[in-house]
Amino acid sequence: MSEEFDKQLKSHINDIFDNYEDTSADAAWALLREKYPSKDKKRPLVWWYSAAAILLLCISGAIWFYYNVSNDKTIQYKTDIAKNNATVNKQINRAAIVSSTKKDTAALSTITTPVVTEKTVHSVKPVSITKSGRSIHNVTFKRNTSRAVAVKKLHTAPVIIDQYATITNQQNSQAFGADTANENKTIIGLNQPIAVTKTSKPGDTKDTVTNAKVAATAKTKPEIKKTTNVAFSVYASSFVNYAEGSNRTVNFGGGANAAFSLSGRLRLSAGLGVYRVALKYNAVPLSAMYNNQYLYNTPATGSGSSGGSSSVNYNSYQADLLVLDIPVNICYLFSKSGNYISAGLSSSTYINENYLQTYTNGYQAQSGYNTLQDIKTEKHLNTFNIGKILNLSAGFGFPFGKGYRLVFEPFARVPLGGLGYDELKFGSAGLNLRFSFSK
Amino acid sequence: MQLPPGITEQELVRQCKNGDLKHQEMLYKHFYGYAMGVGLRYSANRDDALEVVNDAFIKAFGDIENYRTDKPFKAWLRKIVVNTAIDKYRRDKKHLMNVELDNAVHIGSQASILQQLNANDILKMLDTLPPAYRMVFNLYEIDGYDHNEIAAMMGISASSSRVYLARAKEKLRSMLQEDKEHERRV
Repeated sequence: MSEEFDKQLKSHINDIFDNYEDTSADAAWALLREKYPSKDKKRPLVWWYSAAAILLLCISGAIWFYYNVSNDKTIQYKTDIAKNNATVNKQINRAAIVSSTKKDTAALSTITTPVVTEKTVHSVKPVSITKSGRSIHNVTFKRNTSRAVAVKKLHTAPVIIDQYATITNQQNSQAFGADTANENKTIIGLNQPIAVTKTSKPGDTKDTVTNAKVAATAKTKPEIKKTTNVAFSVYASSFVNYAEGSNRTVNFGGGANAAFSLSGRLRLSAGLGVYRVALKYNAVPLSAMYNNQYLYNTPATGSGSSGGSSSVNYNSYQADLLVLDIPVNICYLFSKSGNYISAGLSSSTYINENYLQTYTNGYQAQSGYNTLQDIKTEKHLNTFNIGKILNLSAGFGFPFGKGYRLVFEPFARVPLGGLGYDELKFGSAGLNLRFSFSK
Repeated sequence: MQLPPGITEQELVRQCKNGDLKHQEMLYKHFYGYAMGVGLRYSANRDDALEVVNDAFIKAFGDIENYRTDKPFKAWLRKIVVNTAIDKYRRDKKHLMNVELDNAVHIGSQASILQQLNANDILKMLDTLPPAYRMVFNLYEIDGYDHNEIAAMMGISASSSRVYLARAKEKLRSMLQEDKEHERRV
């Protein structure tokens, strides 16, 4: 008897509480957000820190890149020449440099063209250093320097090092040691670093190399013209916003960019821009509906939490956004005129987001109280969309004084996903007037 | 609460795994009623139940990565709500006062048979039980835990769990019997 009662009680409680409904979900959610607000607020902060870090990195990179690369080309040649003049005094046009000593042999090096040692070799003709002696083992140097010579660059012709070769500079006691190569034939191409290490042992000092001479010519090249590696620009833009279901509106914006040279024709451009987006829809976009569950699910009587949407008739939906845009684009330059095309992605956050929905209450309308009501949503820096806008543009530049340029840049921003709090898919197309300058 | 067209529970959970706040809100509101149903059975009053439910949702959102979508979300959430309620019970154990049946309230004149009991009636009945009895009754009879599990969860022995359950059921029976007598007299 009692067991039967227990079963019935259990079954009844299960039935009732499995389908339990409670109408206080909205208030409870508000309470939960109040009690645990951290995630909502911290998330944008994290994005902000990330964005700031990226921006800082870009700026630091630009500065470093600018000062290093632009100076490098001129300084490098100047210092090379100075060092060579100071340390290498001899020039040998054709020389056989290796002779034998007490024991046996020597290697003969033949240097066909002037060679500049120390750091850089600028030779005009191919250099070939060959072994002509019998023994390979006992090649040493007149000066017992243990320092290895690193020949960093060879700007012109390839060098062929055939087995052991030695290069010494008799007159310069400071820096010049020797270089030897492996038995394997090595071909060093243009602009490839050469590392040649000394292989002689202290015990081999008996063996000497006589008549070693080194050809050294510091052939000065004309200074390379300093190229501009970073260009800065500021711009103002006017454009038309577009979105499915929305009227088109004209808006304005502006910003600043820095473009870094990646190669001859490619540039990486990054910057910061602000622009406004105003959209007016005749129907509420689906994504925006998700944010208004109360309206969507609540009947006009308003107290419940479940029901249909038939009681609410939406009249219009407006969005007004102030966008903070962080574009990163790749530009391809066509010619010296500075015309280019560019493509890239923008990340964005929203300084202000205002959404306004107007609706009429169907039940009230039936009762003769058909009044227009609205819901306003306002957010500040609430959302951060990473890489959700595709940027496409073409620039037509006109020189404007020394180092300045005026660029007309038609552009389009294509949304790759929902943007902002209500996840609206909007884009824009218009014209940037860009004032570009480089140091 | 109904979900908007085109969005399923799986999609909702997937979005919540990405930490999307809007979808968390939708998930919360969708399962709020169900969670409250569980929370109310374990709590002495509505405020406590809400606290349990909200704490449970926070745990659920934080741990949703570990939720396996091949199992019903309701069952997973129910487990979290129950565990949260148990945690709260253990936390508040010192301050809980045992209410004797002498103070029991009338369930209502219509409670002549079980089937006529609504959620409020059941909650009133459960409210009259001492907290430990109520916990054990819910865990064993409604949520399907065995006595060993209950013992581990509540920090009591399995035999105590059996005793509490027996007493809870006895008290519920006598309460309903009393009501029946009352109705007969009226």
